[in-house]
Amino acid sequence: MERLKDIRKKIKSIKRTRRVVRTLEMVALNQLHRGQKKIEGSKIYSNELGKILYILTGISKNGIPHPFFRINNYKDENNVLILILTSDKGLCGNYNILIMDVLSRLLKELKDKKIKYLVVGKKGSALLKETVLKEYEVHLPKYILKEYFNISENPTFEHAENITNDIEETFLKKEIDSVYIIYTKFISVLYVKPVFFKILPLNMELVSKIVAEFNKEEKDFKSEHFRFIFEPSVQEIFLDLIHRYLVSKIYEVLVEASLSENVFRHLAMGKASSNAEEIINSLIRKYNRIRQLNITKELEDIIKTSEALKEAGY
Amino acid sequence: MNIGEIIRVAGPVLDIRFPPDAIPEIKNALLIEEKTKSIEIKILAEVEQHIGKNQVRALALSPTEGVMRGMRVIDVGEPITVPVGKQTLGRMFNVFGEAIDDGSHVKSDMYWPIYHEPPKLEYLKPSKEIFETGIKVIDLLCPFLKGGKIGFFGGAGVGKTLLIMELIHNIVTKHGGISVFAGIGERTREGNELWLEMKRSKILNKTVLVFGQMSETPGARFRVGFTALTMAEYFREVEKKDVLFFIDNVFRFVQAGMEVSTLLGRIPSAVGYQPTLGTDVGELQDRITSTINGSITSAQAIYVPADDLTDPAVATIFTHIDSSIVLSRQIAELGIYPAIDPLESSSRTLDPLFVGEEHCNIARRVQEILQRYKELQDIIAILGYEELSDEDKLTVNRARKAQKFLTQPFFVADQFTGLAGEYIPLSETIEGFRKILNGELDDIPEEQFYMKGTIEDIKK
Repeated sequence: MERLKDIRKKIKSIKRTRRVVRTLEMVALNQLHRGQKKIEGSKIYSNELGKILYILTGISKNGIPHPFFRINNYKDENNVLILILTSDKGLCGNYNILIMDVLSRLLKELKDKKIKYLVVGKKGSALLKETVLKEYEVHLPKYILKEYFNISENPTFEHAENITNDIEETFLKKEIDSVYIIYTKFISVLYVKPVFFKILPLNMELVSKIVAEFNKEEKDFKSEHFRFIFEPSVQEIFLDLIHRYLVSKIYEVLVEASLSENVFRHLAMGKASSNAEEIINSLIRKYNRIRQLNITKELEDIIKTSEALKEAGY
Repeated sequence: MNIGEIIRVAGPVLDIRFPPDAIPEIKNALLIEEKTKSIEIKILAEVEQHIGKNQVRALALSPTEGVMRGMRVIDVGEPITVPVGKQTLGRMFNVFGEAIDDGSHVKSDMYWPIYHEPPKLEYLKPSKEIFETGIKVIDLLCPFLKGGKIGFFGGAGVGKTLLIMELIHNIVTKHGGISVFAGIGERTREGNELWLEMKRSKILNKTVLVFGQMSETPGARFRVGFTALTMAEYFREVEKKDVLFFIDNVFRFVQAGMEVSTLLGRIPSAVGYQPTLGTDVGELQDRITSTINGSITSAQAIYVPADDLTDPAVATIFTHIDSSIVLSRQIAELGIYPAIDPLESSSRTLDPLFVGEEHCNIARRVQEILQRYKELQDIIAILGYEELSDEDKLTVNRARKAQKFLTQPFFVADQFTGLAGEYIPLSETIEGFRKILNGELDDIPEEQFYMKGTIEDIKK
């Protein structure tokens, strides 16, 4: 039987853990509120950008003079870049694991492709090196082009700019033919979903898809309704516009991923704190039971002895 | 011949008056024999106390139904004597040394009293030879010496008796020497099963069985251990053999002593045990030892009331045991059999001096990772496995594998597990755990380690 002191010590230590866990839960909730404001603003911006992009692509039907617009066959996209958004810190349940699940789903689709990675978050970088790479032997660490750390806590436009520049550079060097992003989509505080989508190369279909997503209510939104004169050239406008569009898009996924991370953390810590509560309760019950048992035993001994002594005539 | 007269009967306790110049000595046997038309009584009792007024208080070793005041009591003049020698081999006895199998009366040239002094200090001979049992967890974590004592501590129904049976199966068949089994206060059925099993595996002719099971009087249960021990001592001292001595269950011996003590009117000590607890246990355990003539290697099952290892009886027995193997309910609940707690169990033999550097090292490392796993269990329960660091995850994985690998199919349990039993040589055991610890088996799922003998069985 465990000694009472040991149980008391254990209860104390678990209570301390519970306090930490509860604090983390609160912090996550707080960040969740802050992040939500951020995302509302960025959504409006990338929405408008998407609209303009859609309109412009619609106008120049005979191909857009931009390297990111490539109407190539899926089969020809042999070199694929995947941007993975994960967390820097743990204590967020299976947030990163679910991302890895999506990755392995995507990898199954991209079976014969050569794949390179950009990784946001320390956890993702570690997981990628250990689990996924072991399963898919061809993906050695040298395929990780770049890692970005300490973003997920507070993603800024600058971070997005950096990542976009890196993507654009590799893309322009023709090292890669297409780019996918894996992140956890933030739909509401109660519903987040790890997903992947293709961001490059752009084509009409992709752009309209993006716009459709933004403007579910504006179904009859058509580019033919607009007439524009380009000043300066179409090419220059596109160059700037597409860069802005990509930055805003990546900023958006960074913010969403950060929000989702906090959703996960909030849930995981809530669960952990109730787990701790449960353990504490059962330990207290055990403690009381043993304490009572000891008392009973002692009483029993005293009574027995006094009876025996009485019989013996003392 | 001194003759006395019964003046009081209280259950198994008899008060007898003798002539003033003929009081029998303590521990002398007393015979009550009466044959009339209606009753036929033959009872052996043992003098326990001199209570004054020419009276002795005696403990009857058989039921006292039919005993009346005024009956004649004969002082035998010496303690109970039992037959010893080759004639006892292959036979089953009760506390008086009477055959209780269906065979004939055992006639021996020699009868020894069941009490005598433990061997003198200068005759004792410590051994350094390790006894291989073929049971992984025992061989690895609690190895025991030839001539040493191994104790199986466990609450009700965690598998003490089964473990003893497996040990008998593994070492008696391999050892080839003489073994003596003392059944104290356990189920009569188990005695019968053991007898049949030994007959079947043809080891009965090298075995002596002595039983005082739970149906017997407290006196018989209290003394039957000495009867068996006396028979074992004969083989050690006279035949100069190495003897295996099994006791199932030593706690029942203490329990019987407690009943006797209360019946004799002694004031109980802590938790109701007899005040003479230490003496009682010491008297028995001190004689189970090895001398220059031969060795007695003993394996004892010890029931732990309410799973409380701090119980006075258990704690007292603990001090006499070289290798304490603790069976735990939590581990049995995990389905790990034998349900040996690798962290509670210990052996003074687990020392480079006895088992060598490598064995000791591997055993300590196994205990270390199991200890770490136990510490991490709280974190896992609160935050989940995913939150562990990579290093801790690896420790947990290996610890879980080691824990599963500590199981093995038993010969005596094949009807429960449906698996044929296995004897695992010590070298294979060490090699297996070395591989687990070094991560050579990290990609094999942990279920594969459950109820397997050697690493080769896993790879199959």
